Formats: sequence, C-alpha cells, structure tokens
Amino acid sequence: MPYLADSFVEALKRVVGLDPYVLDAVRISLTCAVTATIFGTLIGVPIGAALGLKRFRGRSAAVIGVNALMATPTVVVGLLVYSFICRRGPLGPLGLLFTPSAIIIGQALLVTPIVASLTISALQQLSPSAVKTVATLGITGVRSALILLREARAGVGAAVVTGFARAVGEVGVAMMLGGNILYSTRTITTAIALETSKGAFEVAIALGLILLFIAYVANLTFQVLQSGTLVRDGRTI
Amino acid sequence: MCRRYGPVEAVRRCSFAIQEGDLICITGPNGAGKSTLMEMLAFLLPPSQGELWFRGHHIGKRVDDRLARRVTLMLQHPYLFDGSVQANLDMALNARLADKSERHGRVSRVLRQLDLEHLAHRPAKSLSVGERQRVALARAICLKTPVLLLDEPTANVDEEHLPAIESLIRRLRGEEGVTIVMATHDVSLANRVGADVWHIYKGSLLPRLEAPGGAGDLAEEGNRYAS
Repeated sequence: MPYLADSFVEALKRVVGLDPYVLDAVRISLTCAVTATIFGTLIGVPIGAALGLKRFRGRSAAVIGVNALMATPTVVVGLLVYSFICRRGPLGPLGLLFTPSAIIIGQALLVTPIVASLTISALQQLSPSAVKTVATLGITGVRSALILLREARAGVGAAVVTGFARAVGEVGVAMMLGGNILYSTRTITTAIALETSKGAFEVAIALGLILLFIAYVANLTFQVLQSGTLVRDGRTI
Repeated sequence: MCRRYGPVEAVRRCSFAIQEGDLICITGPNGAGKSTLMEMLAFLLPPSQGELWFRGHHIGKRVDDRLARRVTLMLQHPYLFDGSVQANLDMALNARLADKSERHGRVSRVLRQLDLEHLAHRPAKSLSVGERQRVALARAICLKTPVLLLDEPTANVDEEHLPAIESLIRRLRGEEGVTIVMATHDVSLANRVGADVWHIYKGSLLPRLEAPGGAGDLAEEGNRYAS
C-alpha cells in the first residue's frame, strides 16, 4: 500500500511547511476547545465543589446525574444545542448556528460534566482531616472551598485537561453546530472527516498527526498533574 | 449529650458546664470518646441526643460563622496544607484578619513562642510528625479564639519542646483568659499545666477530680468503673 506511505510523507511536508489550510483548522480547533474548556471549568468546578463538599438531600442523585452526563454522545449535545439555536429555535434570532460560538457552546456542554465529575472525585480523594481542619479553623463557605480546591489542584487540573481533550477531539458538535465552513468553523476533526471522504489522505493524516500531538501533550499534562509531581526549592515533592 | 455512630454510642450521658477561663484535661483510653467529645465541643458534630449551648446560644446542626470562629480545635491528626509553615498559619488567619502586616506579626510571634521560627519557610508537608504537631498547635493558637480545644496536643512532641508548649498553655489561660480543653492520654501533662482532670471511659464522663494527685485516683476510678 504505497499510497499510505506517500500520504504520510506528504502529510509531514504539510506539517513542516506550515500549510495554511492545516494551520487554520488547528487555530479554529484550539480556539474553540480552549474557550469551551474555560467556560466548562468556570461552570464545572463550582458544581463539583458544591457536590464534593456539601452534604444535602439529593446529593447522591445529583452526583450520579453529573457522572451520567459525562457519557453524553456528542451528537446528542449537538442536536440539543441545534434545536435551541436553529432559525426556528428560541435562540434563533441570535444567529449563532454555523459559527464558532455555536461550537463553543456545544463543547462547553460536553466539558462541564467532565470537569464537575472529576472535581468531585479530586475533592473526595482529599484526606478527611483536610476538610475537617478547614472547619476547625473557622473557615467556611467559598473561602473553605477555595482552600480545598487548591489542595486538590492536581486532580482539578487533571479534570480541566481531560475536559480539553474531550473538546478538541470531538467531531459531532463541531460538525452539527459549526457546519464545517472553510476558514470559519472547520476544525481539525471535521477537516479530517471531510478530507478522508474526498480521498485526500495526506491532508487528513497531517491533521491526524497534529491531533495526536495535541492529545499527547494534554495527556502528558494530565499524568504530571495526577502524579502531583511538582518541583519546589529544587526538590521533587 | 449523646453521640451515636449507628449502634455505637461514642459519647453518652455527658452533662457538664465549662466556665470561661477553665483549663480542663480530658483523659481516657483509646476509643473512650475523647475525640468525639472534642469535635462536639468544636461544633463539628451535633449531638445525637441532648443539647449543646455556647454563651447562651443553642448549637444546632448549622452553626453561625461568628460563633464557630470563637472556638478552635486542634485535631489529633492535624492536617497541614501545601505551602510553607508560615503560609499555613497565615491562611488560617486570613479569614479573620485583613491586615497583612498584623497577620505577619502575629504569625512570627507564635512561631517564636513555640521555637518554630527556623521552620517558617519550610514546606509544611516535609516536616516530621512532631514538628507538624507543633505547627498545628501554633496555627490553632495564632487564631486567638476565646476557646481552644486541643486533641492530644503533645502527642509525638519530643521532651525538649514540651516545656515551651506547657508554658504557652499556662500563659494563654493565666494571662489571656483563654478557655482550654485538652484531650490527652498523658495525665501528667494535666498536672504540669494545672488543669482540672476529667476522665472519660466508654463514652461516659467519670466524676471530676482536681489535678493534684488526680492521676492515681483517676486510674483507680477508671479501674473501678471498668470492673
């Protein structure tokens, strides 16, 4: 299968030669995924902190609900958001459909439960005496949550990285809500789908390599955060 | 007050009053209910049965922040947060004192009193168990609450540093009028700091004995109760 080898060589040339088509897909992908991750974090971390630290009636059901949402198929999220922002939908007049904003909304909905659920896990893995100590010092409310989130920062950071990896690698939301418009909403994943269907394997492989590299960096960051490896004063702690 | 964990009654038939400025030492064997009682006094655990009152306020399941901030508990297994020793003390004070220089002054003073100045910039999690214990004590003391609850304050602390802790406890009570309740295995500590000794056995408080000569009497009382 020489075409595979040829495609791979051509793909490397496009990556090294900073092909504008490839670069633009990367730019749009990263812009959407990073923005969606920021929104997902701003919403997901407080939800995770509330469910991880507070004890209230219905908490277990809420945690199960958040965990279940982690597995929501991207096309279902795409369909849901589509129904709101399409011309006939309640948010139709805002003209969001087939814009990067639509992709960001959909991806943020994917990221939020992941960040919330993994934040709950990170807080639950804290020593029970950490939670108790904060209370014994008379620290309550938001300040208490911030201290404990800081203490669980490796796990919370890993939650954010996992959320980003989910956003940057998904295709359903980007395709349904972005419309795969060149230089506007064509992300790495939608471009791969398109180029493969056209038989342009070299472009698809080039984009695939970049996506793999991004996934690798995200996972490396995840591993470092999970192991809690930090170097301080020249010592690994 | 009573406190149950399922079928287990960790604290039972405890009815007492603590006056302002009291220095009380609660002693008892492992699992006697000392730590549970301390956590109830710190408003962390509501009684399963009975009532807890603090300065005329009934303590329910939700405690007002202003009341909670009048009581500090140093846990038996204290947790120190990431960051330096100084940062740990500063973090505890941060919620109460806005002025940074005032916080810094108070932290430095307490660290000096407990001979911890040289550890101020060390990562708290790199300390030995005994050092952690002293840092946790410093953190509790620097909050300057009118009520201080110390669960095994001298556990794991070497003999060299015991006099500084004991003298600080005596001074807090004598000069600053802090109400102190300690839970400890070490009855001699109660004698050295001049505390009233209460003995807890299987969740029940035994009749009170004054500190001088109390240790022997307490052991006898405990044995009698056990049999």
